[in-house]
Amino acid sequence: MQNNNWEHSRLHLHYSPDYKHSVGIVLENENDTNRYNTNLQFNYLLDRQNTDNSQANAYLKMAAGIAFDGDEKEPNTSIAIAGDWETRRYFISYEAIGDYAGDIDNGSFHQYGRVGVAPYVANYGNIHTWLMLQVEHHPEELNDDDQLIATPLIRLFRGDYLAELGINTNGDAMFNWYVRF
Amino acid sequence: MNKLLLTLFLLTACTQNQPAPNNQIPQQLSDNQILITTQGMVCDFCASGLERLFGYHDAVNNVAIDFDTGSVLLNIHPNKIITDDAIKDVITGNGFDLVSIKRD
Repeated sequence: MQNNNWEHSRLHLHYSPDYKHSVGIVLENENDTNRYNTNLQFNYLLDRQNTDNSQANAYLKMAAGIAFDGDEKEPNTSIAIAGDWETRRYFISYEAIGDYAGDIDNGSFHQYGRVGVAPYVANYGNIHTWLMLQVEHHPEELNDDDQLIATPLIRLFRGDYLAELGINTNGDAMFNWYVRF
Repeated sequence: MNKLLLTLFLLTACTQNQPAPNNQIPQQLSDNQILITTQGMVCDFCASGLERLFGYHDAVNNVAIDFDTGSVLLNIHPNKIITDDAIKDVITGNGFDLVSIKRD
């Protein structure tokens, strides 16, 4: 998967040996600094609840690697708790992330939430469309405009391909895409 | 913002009423069909794993998935067998709950 937004550009390559585990490499470049991160990431599905028309998931995500900022190089770690619930019509997700990278980042916290609605309910194999609102909270950001950001976005996916396009409240574009092999 | 809303509207309008190529679930099963009912199958990302894994099985000729009923229809090659245990492994191995397996 690949994410591009006001904060970073990120390439994320993952392998899932089963539906509960995935391991991957994350390469990330932060836009407003010289910092970039190279991490190994491990995601674990803590719990999944299925019903006839919904699915809910809780995840633990951990990453460790190296953060670079100019000439500085520090060990980089992050841990996140994430959850989502979706039907074919509605979507809700939340993720809380803690980061630490020594002198480069001596501990930070940020969180994301999303709500989404599908304007029509599509069957398997069709193009699925979601209208979503993402709200993110970055309490450590120095710029007030970057502490609380909302991003309306559209998600389109079909089969193994997914793309998201949005513009946040600061006017910055967001583009994410995912391909599953 | 107006351009964004217009784009969202047009994209949404253009993607409605797409044909459903892969969700033809019959009322009556034929000899070479197996109907599997699941729970939790709500998105293409997760269901495509089912289609892929069932497709790897040498007994499976074709896979049809229907979100409306949470069903997976397997068309089986003549004289080939896929066991209930193998079906269960694929369904639960993809994180879905297995409700029933119906054979003719």
